[in-house]
Amino acid sequence: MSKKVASTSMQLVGFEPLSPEPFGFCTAYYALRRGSNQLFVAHPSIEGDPTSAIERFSIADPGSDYHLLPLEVDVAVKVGDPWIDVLMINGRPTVGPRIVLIDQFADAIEKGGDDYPLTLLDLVKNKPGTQRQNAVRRAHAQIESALDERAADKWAIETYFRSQVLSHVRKGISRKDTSADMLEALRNMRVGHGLFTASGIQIKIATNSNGPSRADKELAALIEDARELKTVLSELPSSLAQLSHKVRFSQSVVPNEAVVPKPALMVPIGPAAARALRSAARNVRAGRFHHHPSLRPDMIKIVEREKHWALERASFEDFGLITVIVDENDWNEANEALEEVHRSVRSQSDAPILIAPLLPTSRPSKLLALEHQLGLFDSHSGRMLLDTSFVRSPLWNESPRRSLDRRVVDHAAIASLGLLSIEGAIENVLHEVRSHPARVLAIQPMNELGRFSNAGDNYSSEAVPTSGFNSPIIDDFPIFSERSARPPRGDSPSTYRLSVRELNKNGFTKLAITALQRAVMDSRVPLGADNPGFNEHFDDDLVKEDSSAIVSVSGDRVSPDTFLVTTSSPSIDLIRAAAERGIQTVRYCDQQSMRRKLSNASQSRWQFELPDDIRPLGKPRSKYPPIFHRPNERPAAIVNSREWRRWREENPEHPFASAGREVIAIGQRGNAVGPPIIAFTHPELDQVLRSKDVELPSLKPISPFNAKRFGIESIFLDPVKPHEKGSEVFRWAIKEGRNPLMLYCLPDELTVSKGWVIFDGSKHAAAIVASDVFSIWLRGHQGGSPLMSPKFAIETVWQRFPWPPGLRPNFERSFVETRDVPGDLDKYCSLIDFPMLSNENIVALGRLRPHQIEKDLLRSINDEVLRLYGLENTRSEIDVLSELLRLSRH
Amino acid sequence: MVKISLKSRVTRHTDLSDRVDACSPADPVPLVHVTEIGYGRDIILSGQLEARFCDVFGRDLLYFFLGRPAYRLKHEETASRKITRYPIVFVADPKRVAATQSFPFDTGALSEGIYTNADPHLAIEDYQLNGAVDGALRQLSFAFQNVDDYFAGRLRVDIEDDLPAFAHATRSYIEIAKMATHARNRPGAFDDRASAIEVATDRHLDLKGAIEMVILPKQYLEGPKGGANAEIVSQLSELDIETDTYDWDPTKTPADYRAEINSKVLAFIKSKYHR
Repeated sequence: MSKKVASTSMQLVGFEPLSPEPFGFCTAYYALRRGSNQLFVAHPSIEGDPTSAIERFSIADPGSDYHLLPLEVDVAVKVGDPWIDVLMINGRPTVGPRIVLIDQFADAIEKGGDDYPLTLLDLVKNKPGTQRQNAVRRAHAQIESALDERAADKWAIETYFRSQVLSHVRKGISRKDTSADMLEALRNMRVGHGLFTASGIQIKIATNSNGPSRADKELAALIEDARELKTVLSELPSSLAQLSHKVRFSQSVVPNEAVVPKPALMVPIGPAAARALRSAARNVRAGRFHHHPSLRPDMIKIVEREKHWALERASFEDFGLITVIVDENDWNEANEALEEVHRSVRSQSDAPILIAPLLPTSRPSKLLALEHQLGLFDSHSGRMLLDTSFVRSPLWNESPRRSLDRRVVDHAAIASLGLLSIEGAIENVLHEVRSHPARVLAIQPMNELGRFSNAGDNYSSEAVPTSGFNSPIIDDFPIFSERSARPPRGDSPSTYRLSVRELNKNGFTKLAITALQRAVMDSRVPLGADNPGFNEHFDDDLVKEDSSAIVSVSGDRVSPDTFLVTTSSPSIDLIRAAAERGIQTVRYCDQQSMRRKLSNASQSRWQFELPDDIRPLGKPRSKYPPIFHRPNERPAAIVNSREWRRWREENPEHPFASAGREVIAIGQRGNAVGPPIIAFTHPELDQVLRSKDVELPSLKPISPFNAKRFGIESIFLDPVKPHEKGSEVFRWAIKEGRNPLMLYCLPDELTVSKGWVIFDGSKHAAAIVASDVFSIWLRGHQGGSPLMSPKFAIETVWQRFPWPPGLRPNFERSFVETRDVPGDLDKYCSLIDFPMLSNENIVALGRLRPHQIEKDLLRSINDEVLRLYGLENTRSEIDVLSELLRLSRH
Repeated sequence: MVKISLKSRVTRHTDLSDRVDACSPADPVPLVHVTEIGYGRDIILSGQLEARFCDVFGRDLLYFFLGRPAYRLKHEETASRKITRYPIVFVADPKRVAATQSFPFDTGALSEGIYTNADPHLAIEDYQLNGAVDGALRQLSFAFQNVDDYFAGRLRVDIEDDLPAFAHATRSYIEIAKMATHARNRPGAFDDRASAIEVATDRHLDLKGAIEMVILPKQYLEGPKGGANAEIVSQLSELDIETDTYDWDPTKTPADYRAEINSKVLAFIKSKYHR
């Protein structure tokens, strides 16, 4: 147990001598008050320096030779007070700061104190001059007489001078923020040991870095140039007094004390990197970021702005590692910025630089490609590259909901903590990279089985599909992940493995098989991988053989599913070409699509599906006015719904009483649910303002600040057009970001805010929007499972949807009406119970009550809608998309 | 805290000792016994290190570590109240010690459940090495690149390469030994004894001719003729034991003494054993 006593005064109560002799410095024991059972020892602010102040107290148990001090010794100290010694001379303890004791025992020092010259030397060891010179020579003589001259010389250099060097350095560096590993290296400093020759005394200090760092060299100068140490040597007996001293650095042989490394600084290059780091920085500030259990919690510092590569009031020298998150979207700019960061760091520090590339969404990172990556190490020492592509690997077992950029930041933070916490890790990785520049740092979380398989066997990523050489495992290390940053008692950290791997393009098949096994959650499903005739199947410009694999999944299926697994997002052309050859295309990281295909093979009507992860077609041009709308109007006024109703009951004849619409106050995710509100348009307000006879209702408006907070700053306020009233055209509201789409019928008196898509149309039009056909159209253009439909998609892709014959979009009046539909579709549409949107459909905390069309009914509707397009016999979503594209061009 | 079963079984895991047997012994390294200076005085004056009853093995044993003065307790500087503030180190010639057993770590700490990451299904004999000093030297070359790494507790980087999953004792040893490396995987788990190779004998050891060096606080070299310290120094001289000192001062932490002692023992090994 350690206990710090910051401001409390501690009473010096007892002491414990070192030897049975009646003299010598003793261990002093303190207590909060006399008679207390709990004893403490003091710790000086500079270890070994009696002229420094007391820094802290810790609980201690004395040995059997513990003595109480007499009551008249009344010494009370607290943290910050000068160090107090207990010195026993002739069996009598004397208490005080060493400087006071020197005066007190001046006579004994002068005469030499034959029995205790080593104790007297300890007394004056910090005070250069004749007193110390005499004391050290007497001490030398004492040892020579007790042992021999060789032992005395050995003591003079290896014990006494070593202690002086240590004390001098500790004092010298105490003014700086010295790294703990340097302090530890000093503690293990070797002086002499038979190393001192005619050329002088060697002081050997271990260095953890790759050769002496700048800080090491400063340390050497501090020792070698110290006048004080030269004086110490000159005071030694004449045979030793002429010796000079020299510092030598050796590879680390530092035994394992509590080395606390300097923190890592994470620096962004590119806007996406800055965004991801800003997001991480919020958690860092809240104390909820990844941390290593035995390191300080603030080992990760984050620069949140681009091109400001340092923190205020800190320099690169304060960090043990610079981790650069690189957005390579603009390749040239990223390279230039990387060079600039490198120059800035090197102008102040030798800290190693870890490069962590963000991953482009639809393709592998260039920085992690062999042909580009080698340039990173040209004439640059101290650089390492992190295989961030692991965060897209099927072996990544963190939350898939987290954005790819944030995953990279998390991965880089964990890697940084691993590098800092494992002794020699940075040196090992740098050594590997120096000899083999294609080698990268790899971090791998422990898998579900709780154990790693044999080294190097189960790591697979798009940059390192297979480990082609005996991958050096650096070490395993624990991390409390961000989610459990404040773990409940007993929670244990996750274990990660830090290793070095070699970038390669071979063996993508292994990654493809791992991905498929992962998708079926069963490694026993037999898988065959075969690429013969690949070139005959596919043109080289569609897909490269070394970045894809053809894999068959047989299991207990009658006919195996054959997949073309790709590294990059496949294009529609590739998916179509593969489907024509009976092969389903899927990207290796598209687990959802694999799972859907493998688990639903017999039930799905689609033999070939459009996978979620594709290279989308992009936005089509739309030449027509919109059918689908996003709420984009700022209301003229917003008032509380309850107040409004009360006012309206009191003023039923007022012209304003029929104005305004209630807003369904569920907007963007994360927004608070506001009170029910009524919104008014500018024309409605203008109408009242223009009328001189009526007064505006005296209602308190809701402030724009609250409107934004509740997600109601933009509202859909287009009135339902008079001619549509009573017709078969309804207003539909679709919540953005839901897959499949959920449609709600919107009553006239209600409207919706940001986060919704509105369209007016018949029930048949609504059924088509809810069908697979509309979904295929959207997925083909914008990729699958979008959490939020991009703005451009609503304005272009949705508008450009080719409605089937029998339904007519009226672009001028902005609605879709039914002209003629087959009886079966009409029958099934009438069975759909589209819910009416109301505040009752908003469940607690602003979530929308889910609504989906019953499965069998939806299947029948899908069949009928496909029939409208003449596609009732197709088993391929790609064919449906092709037909829709053909229709949209006419 | 994981308590290790001490019950003997019919068969034991020999994967660790088999692997160690396959290695050549490292260059000779002396044996080291560390105790408190108070006991040390009695040892010097009696001229004998005594085998004492050991609770772990149920018989009289005298313990050493191979080379490394690993007396350190967990959280020596801050957490432990019962620290060894005044250590004394005896460095013994291994040829003079009739060693009877060796283990790859401090068995006392294992039986106390201090190695929290040990495999709880293993018994203490699963870790026992074949041979005594010879087994200990083979263990050194199995687990460490050289004596510097051994002092640093730095395991061979390839120690886990090609290690099958069923090598339970070896895997558990590696997990334990990591507690003595810089890769301190769990807070509070660091313990220097976790990879200090233990050698024991069931006989007393006469200091004369067996102990090559003693390291004690420098203050023990002063004192009046006929005084307690002089008696110790004189006895050491009579026993023909080289004496070295460390710089004890109340302003220093035990970690400081330990570092100084370690560097002195390592230097002794290099100058005398590995010349």
